Amino acid sequence: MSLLSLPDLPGWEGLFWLATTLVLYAIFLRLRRHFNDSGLLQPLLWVSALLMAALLIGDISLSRYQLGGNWLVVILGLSTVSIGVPIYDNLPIIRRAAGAFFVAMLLGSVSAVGTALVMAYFLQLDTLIFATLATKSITSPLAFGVSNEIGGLPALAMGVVIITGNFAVLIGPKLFALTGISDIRAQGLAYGVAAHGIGTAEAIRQSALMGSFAGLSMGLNGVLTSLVLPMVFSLS
Amino acid sequence: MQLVAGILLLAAILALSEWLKISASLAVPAPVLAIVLLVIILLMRGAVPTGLRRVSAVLLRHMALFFIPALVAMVGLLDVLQENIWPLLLIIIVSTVVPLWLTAFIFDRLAPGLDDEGRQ
Repeated sequence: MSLLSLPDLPGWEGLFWLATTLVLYAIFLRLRRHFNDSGLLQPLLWVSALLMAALLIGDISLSRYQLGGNWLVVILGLSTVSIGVPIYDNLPIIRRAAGAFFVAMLLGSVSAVGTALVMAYFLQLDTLIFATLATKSITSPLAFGVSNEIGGLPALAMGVVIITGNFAVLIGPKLFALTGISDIRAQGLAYGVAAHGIGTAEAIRQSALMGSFAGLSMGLNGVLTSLVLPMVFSLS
Repeated sequence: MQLVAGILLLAAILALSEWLKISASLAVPAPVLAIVLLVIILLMRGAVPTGLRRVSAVLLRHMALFFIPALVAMVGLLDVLQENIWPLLLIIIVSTVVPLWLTAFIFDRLAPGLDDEGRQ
């Protein structure tokens, strides 16, 4: 799904799924606001779960949902580029903390891939899933390509990346409150490293400064990991 | 008109990045390249155009909406997930909590303090 190869026009069925997605999203936005921003009411999680249930129950193929859904993916691209705006706005603040930024990002990134691989090794998961998990903290469109390159399952990589992102967003606020980390720059940076696009989306929702740190760490971490992983896997 | 210009600017930068990535076979993903291009353009211009600011505010606030199709696509993965559900869940939990905490902790210790508006 890219601007250079746009999906087919949605047609009535695609428009139906687009409209359903939008209406459900609007409903859950309201619900979340009504229940004081409760983390359990992530519209992304609930709307997706409802749509998946509809497809399963109605025995409707995913490709029919994607007639409409693919257009949202196109907008996701534009929305990702927009992260440049808060990054530009907060460039002076980012620059002042550049050293800490890089050290924290690198160690955080190593710990993300490291814990996943060490556990996969001890739980004796097969090599296919092992290679898939290595990509888990890279942003989703990236994980797809890298997972392919190092011999994992691209579709599962996307799934793991997305579950990771949602889980991080769900527990993030509690974790930071519990550990007394109140610096929103630190929180944004952590969301970008551990929860990629979904984490960045949530960080931006909370504050532009948090979002700019998340966007920057997601981008840098994604690029670094996608360059390093194929090298590591070609050695082993 | 300003809004349309904002959308067109984003689309043009993204399309350019996709084209650059393919023609120079770069390892960098197009959206990341596009973010870098946008920041460079803004630095050269010295300000964010009004239309772009308004468009990007809306797009960023509703980014979760645009992730929905990716999540729905997991419907095709339920079999693989089910086979390995417990080890996968355990791994996801640990390898999310550890980096989330560690990254924030290290930065919190190393970074120079932020003025009060940066704390919640």
